[in-house]
Amino acid sequence: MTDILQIGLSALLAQQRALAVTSNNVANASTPGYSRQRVELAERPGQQLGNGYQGAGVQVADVRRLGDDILAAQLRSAKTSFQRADAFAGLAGQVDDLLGNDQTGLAPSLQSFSNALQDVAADPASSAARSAYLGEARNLAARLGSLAAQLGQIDGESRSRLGAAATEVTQIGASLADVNRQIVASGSNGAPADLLDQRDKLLGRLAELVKVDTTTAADGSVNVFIGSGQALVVGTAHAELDAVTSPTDPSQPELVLRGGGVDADVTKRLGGGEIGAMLDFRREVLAPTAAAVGRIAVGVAAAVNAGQRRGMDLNGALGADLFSVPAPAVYAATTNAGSGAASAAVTDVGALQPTSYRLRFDGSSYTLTREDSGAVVPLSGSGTAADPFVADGLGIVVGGAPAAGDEFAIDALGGAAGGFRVLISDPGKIAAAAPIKTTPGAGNTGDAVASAGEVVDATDPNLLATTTITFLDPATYSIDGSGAYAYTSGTDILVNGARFSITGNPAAGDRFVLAANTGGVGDNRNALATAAALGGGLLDGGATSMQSAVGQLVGDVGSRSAESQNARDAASGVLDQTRQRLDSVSGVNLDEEAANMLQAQQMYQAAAQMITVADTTFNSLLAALRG
Amino acid sequence: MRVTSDSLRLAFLDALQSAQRRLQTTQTQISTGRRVNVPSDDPFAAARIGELGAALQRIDQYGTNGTLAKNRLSLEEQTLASAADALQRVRELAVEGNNATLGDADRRAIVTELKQRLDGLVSLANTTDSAGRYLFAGYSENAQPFAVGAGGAVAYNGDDGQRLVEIADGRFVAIGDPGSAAFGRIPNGNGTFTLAAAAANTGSGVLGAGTVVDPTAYVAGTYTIAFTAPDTYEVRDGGGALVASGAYTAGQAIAFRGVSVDLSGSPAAGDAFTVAPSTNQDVFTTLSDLIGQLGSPAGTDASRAQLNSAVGQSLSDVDRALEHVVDLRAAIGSRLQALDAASADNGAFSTQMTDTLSALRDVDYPKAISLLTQQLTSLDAAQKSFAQTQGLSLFRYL
Repeated sequence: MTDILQIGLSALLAQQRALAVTSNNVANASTPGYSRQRVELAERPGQQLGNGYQGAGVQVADVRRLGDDILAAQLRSAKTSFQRADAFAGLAGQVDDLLGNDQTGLAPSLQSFSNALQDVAADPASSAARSAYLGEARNLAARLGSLAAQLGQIDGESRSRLGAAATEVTQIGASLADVNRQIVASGSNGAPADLLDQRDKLLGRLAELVKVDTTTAADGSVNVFIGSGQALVVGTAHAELDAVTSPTDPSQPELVLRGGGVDADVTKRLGGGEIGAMLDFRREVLAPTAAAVGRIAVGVAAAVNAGQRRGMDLNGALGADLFSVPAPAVYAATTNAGSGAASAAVTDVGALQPTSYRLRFDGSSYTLTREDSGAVVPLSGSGTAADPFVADGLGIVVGGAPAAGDEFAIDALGGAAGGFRVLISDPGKIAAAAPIKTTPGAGNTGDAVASAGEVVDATDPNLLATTTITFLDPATYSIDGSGAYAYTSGTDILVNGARFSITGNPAAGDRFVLAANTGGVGDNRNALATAAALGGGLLDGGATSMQSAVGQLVGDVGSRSAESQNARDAASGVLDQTRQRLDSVSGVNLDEEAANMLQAQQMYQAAAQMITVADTTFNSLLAALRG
Repeated sequence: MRVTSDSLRLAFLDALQSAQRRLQTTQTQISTGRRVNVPSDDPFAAARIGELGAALQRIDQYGTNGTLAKNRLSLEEQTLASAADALQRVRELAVEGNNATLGDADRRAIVTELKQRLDGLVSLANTTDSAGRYLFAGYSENAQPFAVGAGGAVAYNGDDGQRLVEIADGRFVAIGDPGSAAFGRIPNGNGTFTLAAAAANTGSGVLGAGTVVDPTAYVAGTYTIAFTAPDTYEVRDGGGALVASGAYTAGQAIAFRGVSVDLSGSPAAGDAFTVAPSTNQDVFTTLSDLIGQLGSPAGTDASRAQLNSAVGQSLSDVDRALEHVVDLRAAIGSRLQALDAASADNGAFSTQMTDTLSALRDVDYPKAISLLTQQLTSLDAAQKSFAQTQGLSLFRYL
């Protein structure tokens, strides 16, 4: 009898447990990170009776947490990839919007500026056309400025997200160390399921921030490594991740891992997740975009300013710069031990590359590397003011006493768009005219004609002086009454920084006068030349025009953005599949729980029935004995 | 594979999200009418769209430039047409003034009209455009190019500048001519040489036309046809060397070194006529000369012969000026033609680019709308299926 009672009781208790576990599963069906649990039943050891064994009922062997460490690690890796792609695509999409927008795009304002210059060329004496041109110049500056400002905002956002991610990594590291401590303290009974769930959740969140690897120690604690194996948590100790300004380049952030009394720069060793996305985005999209926009700004300024300087304004003075762009920025690393200094200037716009550089001194010589590709750029020259290092269109002058290992960051283009300014406010100062003109003598009898002339060297002090070419005979001419030069039709005559040619058959005594273009308000030669320069190949050694540089930029950013969206979609698919696979092990299915509950309930009822049967049987026996 | 309640829900949410994202993309395309709204929609197309847009803007600018050029050139053409009319009238007056039957008083009336014509020509040469800028001043278009000096001489104060405007990629057209070229630099005489009667001539020999009959034999230089007797002449070059000599018969041309000079009347012994290479002369000098010639009294046969010779030469100067204006008008005509050709090319180019741009950028509405319908249907179906599957739970049957 007691057997039946004991067996029934064991069944009641076991099914109660099963119901409790099921209800816990139901309760946590939608709790993030919850792994379902299952009651593992086992037979109680039986006892041998004379003619065989008699079972002794059921017992709860274990309440198992249905987790899968391998799938959990796969899920973390999928989260790292997805978060990297998602955050990257989000930021790239912002740049994408910025450049693709008709209102903020560069192509229309560049063309409007060129068109306004054409209007000046068509009617150079019109102050309305000149004012409109200045207006378009200001629009272009505003457009470049707002692009730079918006890129700056995106730069700020990526930096603050990097900072927040670093802080969160530190917090998660601390929490994981704490969980490790509790797991170790729980000893050999096995870790509580909720602690394991919490640990998986923390690791999952960490994986969204940065690539994570774990190893499990014998005592059940996990060691956590981020990026390419940087120890974040070892047992109960954890390191701290901090985002600081790079000591070598104030425009760049740097991630420092502080642990065990050592501060290590791990910027280049961290990848994946939010942190990887921010770092990759800054390197692959933001920096090249800012440099490409800057290069366009520098190109426009160089073409227009060179044009201005070769021309004459409405007041008869030589033209001055219309635009200003900031000189290349050079930062000496705060860690430099020596007292070396460096400066840079743009020497050839056509050779500029859309990147920044790092200049290193190794104790005897300097090495220049591109920040985007890491490629070494050969330096020509000696680095002195008279003979600067020349590389990629930059002239670099070094001085002072640098120590071996000292570094300089050179950013030639990053600040150009933001610092692009219009210097002229007086429409009369637009140099539409060429500063010189040629006039044939009134009494010329030959049929020779002189070309209008062009400026070769705008800095020649005698550029505006009057020069008279007199033909001594049809084959010889003098300049300002002296010399006797052989005449060949069509060859250039270079005088006082100007160049012109005479073609045809001059007669003896014919004169041509090269003089300042005084009063030449209707002259548009310089405006036409400037417009042609602006529309022609200015970048990449003459291969790329401004408009195609803008097109390239839009195409590059668009490709990056589209690529990152595809990567995000692919990563999202992988993430979903992995999550489903882990869920299929650890997740709760309510129908399944309902069935389990019914089963446990029925078992419970059956066991209760068994108690009743035992009771009835016992009572029957008692009644018989009493009987 | 085991399916869990939460993964069903998450899978649905993901599906819903992506369906709604696709729907949003299609909706944006339909509402903006553009297939490419951000560069990532189609990076290659986005880059091309920007460049095509800029190219279209540039072609519009060529259109603006072309209109301006056309206006300037038409105005110049009209002005030159008026100048040609004036010169034609000058020619008629000169022919009339050269008539032997006219007295000094008749010629004075002609001189009065010629002076008006000269003033008219000067004011034509000082024509301004609608913005008040002088058409024939070269680059110095804010300053009046032609000014009549104290002695009646007309001075040119402009320069030789000629403005070009761009009317198509790399195609330029001149939108004016400097006054120095439009009204000056006209070779006088017959274009090769000029004839003049010596002021001291006493005979009644009158110069007619001079022609180059054999350009290969012509040697440019100054020649003097001197009459040693009324019927004998000799031709000497600038160095005094004898070039030709012969007997003179009235009305018979004198020929030497490839040129032929018509002479009529009766020159006296000692009379001389010179042949000199043409020089450039402006139209105002030609008119002033004519006014001076017709204004001098001619009472004697000799002075009448002087007058006839001089006016005859001035007439050829007027003819040269007329030819010059006709040539210039022809040149302007061909510039206007170039403008029309460029405008037609730009139009064709613009149409073609607009088509390309539209193909790259614009949404294909029937396609987009059918896509939208399809996406709406699938979203609707996903939502319904979720609602139905969510209703399924074993717990409902307990």
